[in-house]
Amino acid sequence: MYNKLVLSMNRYSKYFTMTLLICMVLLVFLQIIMREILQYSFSLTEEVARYMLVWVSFLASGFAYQYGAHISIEVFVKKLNPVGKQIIKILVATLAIAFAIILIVTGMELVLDNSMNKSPALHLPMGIVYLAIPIGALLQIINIIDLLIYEKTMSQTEVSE
Amino acid sequence: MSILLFIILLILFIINVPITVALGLSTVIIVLLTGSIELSTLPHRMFTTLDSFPLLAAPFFILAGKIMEHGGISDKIIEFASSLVGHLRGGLAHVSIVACMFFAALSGSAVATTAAVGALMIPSMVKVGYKREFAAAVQAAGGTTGVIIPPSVPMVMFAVSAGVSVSDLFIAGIIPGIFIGLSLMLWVYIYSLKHNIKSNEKFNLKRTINSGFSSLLALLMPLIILGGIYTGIFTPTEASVIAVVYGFVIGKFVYKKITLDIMKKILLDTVVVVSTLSVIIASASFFGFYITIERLPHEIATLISEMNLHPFIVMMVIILFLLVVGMFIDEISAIIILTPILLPIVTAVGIDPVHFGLLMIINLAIGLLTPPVGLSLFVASKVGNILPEEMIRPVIPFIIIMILDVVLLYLLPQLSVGVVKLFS
Repeated sequence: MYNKLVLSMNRYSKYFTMTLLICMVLLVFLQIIMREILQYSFSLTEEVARYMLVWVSFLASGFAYQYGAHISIEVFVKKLNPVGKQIIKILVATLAIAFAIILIVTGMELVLDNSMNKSPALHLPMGIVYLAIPIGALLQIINIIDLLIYEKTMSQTEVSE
Repeated sequence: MSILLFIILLILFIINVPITVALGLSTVIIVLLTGSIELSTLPHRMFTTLDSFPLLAAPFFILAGKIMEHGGISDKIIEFASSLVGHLRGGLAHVSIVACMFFAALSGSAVATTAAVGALMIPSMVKVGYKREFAAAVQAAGGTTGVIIPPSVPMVMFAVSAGVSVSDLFIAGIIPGIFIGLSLMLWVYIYSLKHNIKSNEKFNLKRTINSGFSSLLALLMPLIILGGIYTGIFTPTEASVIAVVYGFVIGKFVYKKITLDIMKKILLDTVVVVSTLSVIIASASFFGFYITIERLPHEIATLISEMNLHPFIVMMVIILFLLVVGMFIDEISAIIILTPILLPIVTAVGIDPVHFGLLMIINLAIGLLTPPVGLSLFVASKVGNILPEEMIRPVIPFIIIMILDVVLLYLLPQLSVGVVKLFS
């Protein structure tokens, strides 16, 4: 049940972040075309592309756990016995969740404090832009718990640089 | 308190906590203990670091590298490289390295370079009688030029953390990149003499011209991208987008290798890699903010300048330190974490930041070849179908050569920052 929920949530965030990446490319490409050919430049594209990078980064950080993609130093725990590995796995998950909770709490403060501030070019409420951080942290927690419950291996390397 | 911060960080690293969590959590603990900065600045720091236009070049170059890897460009480049150096003693091994260097001028990643060229070259080297472990080692070593010859993702990362210009680093990297490629070929030549490996190909100008033409689209690209940056027509970030669009157009419409499924895989891989790097940058900025407020790098820098050490000695200690770091931490994470600490130290003894950035990138690129965490070594072993342990012996000469390269490039700043001064 929980597993299915996580799967569909991850599917949405995958497609959303992939679409954002395409939009980032198109926006900056548009900026070059506008400047070089039409001799017209606007500051909007840069701002939007930058904010999109922040959103991609945090939203994808949740399902990145499913690919074992978050960079860590694995050599030292590799030598442990299965019991030791299990203890380390739970400890690491707890620490990662603790940090994500700190991000949610401080991130929500930042969101609420800036609900009135507007971004320079697009006049977006900055609170909405900052929302990427607490949402991303929440997605991280959901995926870490999913991996703990369903005992998937954390070291699948389907994704490479 | 800074000592405690490093101890906690080290413990978290050793027990396999993701680097982003380790950096963030250790700093949060110290900040809670000392109260020197407000915890509420954490998300804002993270945001402002990622909210940077120069940084955007990194995801775009990663995306471009993946598109090139799958776009059928490597076949053409290998054919061209083969017509250039295939007739030399140890021909195919030279072809591997030269093809890597050409690919490096398209891509900003060592892993993409090793994978794209190695998948084709390791089997063909084995077929004509090279030892499999040597073939894979050549590929891993050649692949490191991926981050040294511009464009380069680690260079973008260093430039953003050090506050220097990405273009300057890209200019500084050209000659050292070629220099390192040639030095690797020197070992290939010596190895071929020792093992009496000959080549039965003859140099044929007509073939070179023909393959040059058929790979023209791929060869033009570095000219467009780097030429555009150097002449100031576009910024490195814009150039990275041009690389994406150009690579996509020729991979999709000319070489017809990119299908919808491949494109989906490329996008997903990119999003995941970009995210994992971004969250490290974000946490590292909070960590860096704390140690800068505590003036730790400055104190070390003052200490070193009081000791009146010769810059050469300082640099040799740093090179050794980075070699050890590179054995355990991947290149980009190491750059993000260490740049704010090391930069004040080297500038205190009079080393140019751009020059240092280049040396640091080459130095950490050696870490791509050293066990236990050598990314290029792993990729070459995977595409070469061999155990990484078996590659260690044949890769050692390449590692030694690259260490000598770093020292030489330190002593000869004319080859790197000298070129930057010519341009400005």
